[in-house]
Amino acid sequence: MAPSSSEVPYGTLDLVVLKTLAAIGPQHGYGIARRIEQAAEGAMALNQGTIYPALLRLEQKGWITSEWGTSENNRRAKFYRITKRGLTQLASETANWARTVAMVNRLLESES
Amino acid sequence: VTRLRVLLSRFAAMVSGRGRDDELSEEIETHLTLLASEYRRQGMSDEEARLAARRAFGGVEQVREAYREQRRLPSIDAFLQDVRYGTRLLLRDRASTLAAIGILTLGVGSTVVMTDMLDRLLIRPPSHVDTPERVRRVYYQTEDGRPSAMVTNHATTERLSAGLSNEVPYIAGYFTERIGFGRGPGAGRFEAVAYSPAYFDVLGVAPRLGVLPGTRGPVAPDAAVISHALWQQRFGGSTDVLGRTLRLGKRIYTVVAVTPRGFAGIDTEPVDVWLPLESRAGDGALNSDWRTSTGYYMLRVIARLRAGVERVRAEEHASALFNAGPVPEWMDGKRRTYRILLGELPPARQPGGTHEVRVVLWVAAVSGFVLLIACGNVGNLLFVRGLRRSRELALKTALGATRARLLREILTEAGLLAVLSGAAALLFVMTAGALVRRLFLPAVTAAVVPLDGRLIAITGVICLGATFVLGLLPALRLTTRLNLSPGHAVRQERASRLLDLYVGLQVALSVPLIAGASLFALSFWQARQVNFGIDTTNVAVVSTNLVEVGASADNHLAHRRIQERLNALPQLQSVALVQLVPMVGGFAYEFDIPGFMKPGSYSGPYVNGVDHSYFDVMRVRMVAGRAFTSSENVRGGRPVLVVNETMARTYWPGESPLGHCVRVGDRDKPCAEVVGIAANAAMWPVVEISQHDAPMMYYVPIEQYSWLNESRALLVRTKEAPGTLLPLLRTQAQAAGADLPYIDAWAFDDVFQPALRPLRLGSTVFMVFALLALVIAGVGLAAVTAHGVTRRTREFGIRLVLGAEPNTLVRLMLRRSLGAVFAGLACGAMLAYFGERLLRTFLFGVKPGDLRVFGVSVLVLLLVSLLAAYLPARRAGGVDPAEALRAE
Repeated sequence: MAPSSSEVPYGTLDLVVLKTLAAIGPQHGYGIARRIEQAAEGAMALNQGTIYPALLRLEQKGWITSEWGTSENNRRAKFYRITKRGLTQLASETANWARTVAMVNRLLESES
Repeated sequence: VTRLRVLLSRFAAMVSGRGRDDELSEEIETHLTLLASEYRRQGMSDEEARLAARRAFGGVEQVREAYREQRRLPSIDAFLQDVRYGTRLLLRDRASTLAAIGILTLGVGSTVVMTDMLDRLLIRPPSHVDTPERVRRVYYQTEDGRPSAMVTNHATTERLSAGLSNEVPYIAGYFTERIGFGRGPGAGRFEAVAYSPAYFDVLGVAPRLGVLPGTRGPVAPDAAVISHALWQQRFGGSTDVLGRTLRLGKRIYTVVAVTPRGFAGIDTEPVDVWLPLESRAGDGALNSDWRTSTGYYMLRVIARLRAGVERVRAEEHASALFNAGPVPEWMDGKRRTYRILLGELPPARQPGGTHEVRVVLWVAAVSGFVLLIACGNVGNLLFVRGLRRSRELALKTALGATRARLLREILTEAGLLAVLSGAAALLFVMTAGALVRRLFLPAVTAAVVPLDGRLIAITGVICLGATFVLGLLPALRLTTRLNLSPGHAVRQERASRLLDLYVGLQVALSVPLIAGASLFALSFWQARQVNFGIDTTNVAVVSTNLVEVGASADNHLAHRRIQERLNALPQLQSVALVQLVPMVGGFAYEFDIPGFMKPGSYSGPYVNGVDHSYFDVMRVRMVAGRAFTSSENVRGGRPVLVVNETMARTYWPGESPLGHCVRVGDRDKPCAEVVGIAANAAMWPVVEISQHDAPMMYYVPIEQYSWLNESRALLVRTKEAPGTLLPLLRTQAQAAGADLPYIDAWAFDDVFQPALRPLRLGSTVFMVFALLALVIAGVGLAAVTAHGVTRRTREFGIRLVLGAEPNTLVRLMLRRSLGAVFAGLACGAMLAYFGERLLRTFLFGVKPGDLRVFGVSVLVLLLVSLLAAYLPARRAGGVDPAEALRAE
């Protein structure tokens, strides 16, 4: 395993997917995966397949919806789109995340 | 909310099935193609690009599985899997599955049928009665007696009603009668209730059609309320029935209302028509002074308590009022103080209980025994099945199945069994239950809906409860670490102790069932042997009623004409005309014996005007003297009479009454000579051991004394059982006159039905239950023994090789099986001994601790057990050693 890349932290994949969909609009699974990899600039090792259970999870929660469309190479593909509820959730999750990171940072700094 | 949403979408996914899997495949396919073309753009070959895409994507199967996990409801999914597995198991072992379902069905079914009977008889109030807890039936009780339904007169109910207006807004009196309608072959008969105006106010029944008469408005004297059933049958359910007329007896009634479906009165016989009390006056049922006279005893009384009034206070007040007026006179001349009781409406809820109700309670409790035995047995079957599977369970444990998982699996199987046998039990309840109700319940209670939600719920609860417990016990045993460790043969021996327990339980519970069955059967048989002083077998009663239609004068002659026709029938031996049918009616008349003090005119001996052939038809034995002759049974013949033993003893103690003179009627009537003493005959169809307290009674020639009483009936002695002859008797009688009213024809022994019903119920149901118990216990024991033989096949093989006699092995198996049986027998005998003491009050002519009964029960069980154990045990001796050793 390359030392520069790490596993996706547990629970963050959903947040990342949501954020991605909010940023680039409707996209299919492959597009989302590519986009995340690009954004991580190789710092995160993503088994691309794992985003499908994550997409289902988000859809079940009503934060994203999906519909069938056609991909660049003319294949049938499912396009995912963030919902209003998803946007609200993203805002609160982002705030949560920032708070958590800040807190962990403070802890780590005070320990050292 | 989000959680719920997830749950719902998972559920929807589960229902929608496979589609989503295909969709995911398509998505993955697209993903891989896109990724591969990306790699190709980066310069890889087709093959390399495809492989690289696969690598980057990760394990396709894992993704699929994770996706599925996410999509489904895990517990339901596992449950469905268990169900599929359980079904396979049940199907694999069809014989024992069928046995278990059959046994559970019988056990649960009989319990539910009995519960239903209890419910109908005791718990459920009559349908359509408003606030039934406030509707009370009025009972009374003297210090020296048991409570009985009050029977009184109009004047007394009016007095109570006026005095109790604060506590009881409505009190009503009513009586039931059968009224004929029509003439000739189309004639029929209705069950009628004659009621005082408050009757429907007390009950609070809402009519299906029309307006029910009540205290709020005047009740038209010709107003008839008809039942839903009568409306459907006679008027085709048409809505213009209101205002139509009905001719009943000699009156014409107008239909004013129809009762709701399912309301058939508050007594045991379903009522066809309700008529105002005053319309029945002067019809024979009531004399013209019915409003004021306190000498009648014919009205039963119901009352509605005001909301919030304490029953006990109302009872005290009612008692005080009742005792302040004229209370019923007693033969011994002593005045009694009465206590009024406001009991519940269902007749079976009589305060202090009735014999019949107590027998039903017992039988219901006993059905619990059958259920327990059935459970013990199914427990056996499940356990034996489980033991056969222990290797499989061990393997599963080794592969990582948790104990909870295995438990769930076994319990699911038991649950499946519960559902199947529950369904079968419902079928059983619907069919057998209907039969049992028809046989043993009064018609009104038996009539209501065949199957209701509560019954289904009870069946479900019993079934699930039973199988859960049954499944859990062996499941816990089987999944303990000990049993699952390899080489657990020794432990199995201990596990099969549970089997012994089941067998012992079944045997123990079977003993009291068989004992109870024999006790009741013995009682029933002895009750049928009671000597009533008259021989009622092969006697039928044929009568019509011209008095009711206003032609009293023709009644005697019409019956004589019927008698002539019947005399010509070869199936009959002899026919006698009587005024009153013995055991059905009693009648006393003014009489005196010159030279004796004249006793009170109404409380004097009973009298019946009969043909000379009466003594022959009813087989009445003459103790002394003779019966009267045909030449005396003519108008203007020599006045004679026959007295019974009690009367002879009472008036002529120590001397013969023969030749003495008795005057029946006024001074101007002639004095009749006593020519014979007839043996005492029972006055009422009460099954009692001693008959020597029969009341005084005398018989007079009917032709001479036809003026005593207008009522007539024919007693017919038939050559064979009269049951099948009744239609013939009816048509022959009908043909004796052009337009005779309804002809009643019934077998005399029917009068004993009410008295024998508890014993009949007890003996039949106990017998059925005992048979069930025997069969079930036998099957259980056989299964356990068979299992033991199978389990020890290897051991027996070795023993045989080492020179054991086959018979020794059989005996070994028998000893092993019968140990539990003996223990069970001992416990069962004890149960039966104490049970017999509790049952004693219902039994008839059975001596306490009748050893025959216990002997028979134990012997029967022992025989069945021996057979059940021997048949499979025989296999132990027939084991082929080579085969046995190869088996493992």
